[in-house]
Amino acid sequence: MATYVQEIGEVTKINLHGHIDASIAPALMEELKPLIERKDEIKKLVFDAKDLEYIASAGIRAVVFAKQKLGANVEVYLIGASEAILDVFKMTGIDKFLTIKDSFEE
Amino acid sequence: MLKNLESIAERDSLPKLLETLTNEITQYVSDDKLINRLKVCSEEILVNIIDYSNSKKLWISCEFLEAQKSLRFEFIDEGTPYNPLEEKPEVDIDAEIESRGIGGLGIFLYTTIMDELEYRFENGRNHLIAIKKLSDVEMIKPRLKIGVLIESDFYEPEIEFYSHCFNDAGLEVHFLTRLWGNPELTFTGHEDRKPFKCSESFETIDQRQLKEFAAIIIPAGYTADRLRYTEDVEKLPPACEFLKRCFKDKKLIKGIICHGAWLMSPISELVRNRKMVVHNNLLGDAKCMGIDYVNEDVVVDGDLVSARTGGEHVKFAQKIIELIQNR
Repeated sequence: MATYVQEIGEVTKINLHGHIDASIAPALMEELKPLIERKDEIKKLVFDAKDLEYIASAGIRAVVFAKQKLGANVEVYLIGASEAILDVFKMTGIDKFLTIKDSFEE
Repeated sequence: MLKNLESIAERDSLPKLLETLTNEITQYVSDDKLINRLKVCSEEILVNIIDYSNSKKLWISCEFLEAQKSLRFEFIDEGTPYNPLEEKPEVDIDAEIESRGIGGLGIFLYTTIMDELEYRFENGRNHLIAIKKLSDVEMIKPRLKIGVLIESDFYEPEIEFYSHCFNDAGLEVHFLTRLWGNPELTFTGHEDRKPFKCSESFETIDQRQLKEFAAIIIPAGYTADRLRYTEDVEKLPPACEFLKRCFKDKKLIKGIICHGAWLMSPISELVRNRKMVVHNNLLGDAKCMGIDYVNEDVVVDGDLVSARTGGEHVKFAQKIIELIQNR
């Protein structure tokens, strides 16, 4: 079973990898749920997409879920995403709520 | 073409279905972003069927409509009648994050990406037809080009024949060489010093352009020997670098005739254990290269066609044309 959440803390890291289709996305969503309980600890949430090959709406929904539940004070990053991956985020308008960068530096 | 590929309607079927569909899409589409978009559309439509139709099975078709330059997808299920297009949800992509609903994103994506969508309920089955028009840039062009490597001391009757025989068969011949920065070079033939002008280089053919070629031919004469020159002994000759790329593409036929096999010696691993015939003078070279020598005038081993001598050029070219026409 693939895991996505790498580290919880002020900078919480989530390693998105492989193909996240609707058969996989529920597992990602489940992993994100405990973050909500600890949202006071989190200042920055980093979705690392450098090994992400594919994502559709089911996976994007998990990102939206995290952004909504963590609230306005937590900055959410999307880093290292390929052009094809970014394209899907842009089409849904979700890119506007994320800080998009090639890499994350604290 | 995919015709009514059957699958169990459950989310766990998605990885396999998406892989099959993507393989199909990449036969026709060259643009990576569009390939991904069409994969996303397929998934969104499939997830809708799986989650809401109560159908146990589903069927997928995908075909390229040549006249319309379009890809046509059809998704069929035997669930309850349901037209997803009627309930097109309002998705406001400019809304604030707090008010973004998480439903409807899938339908929003495929209705945005696809050019035409049609729903019908027929004989107890839901049919959703989705069409995407492809621009010329997005489309993979049919493989119609034949590349013939050329240098001085070529065998005149062979090159003269190649100049028209492929075009006569509805293909398009391109003579390729190393131009050394020149717009054009004039080579001379081996027998009568006959001049031949060449203005195309194999060095500038990128991966996308290579997919427009049906075959690459290393002809008889001294072309192979001249093209295996390298000015840097640490590096492979550029012609061999080009051939390495050609051998990776299994849909591209490689034709090697007569002394053409010389050009394979720096990259002999590509012909090791391959069935081939070479000129009688090159029997020792074939042995050193590990070629599985076959004593016939023309030999076919999958994507590799070889002929014994320049004199066999007619049979050799006809065999290549036959393989292209029957692919």
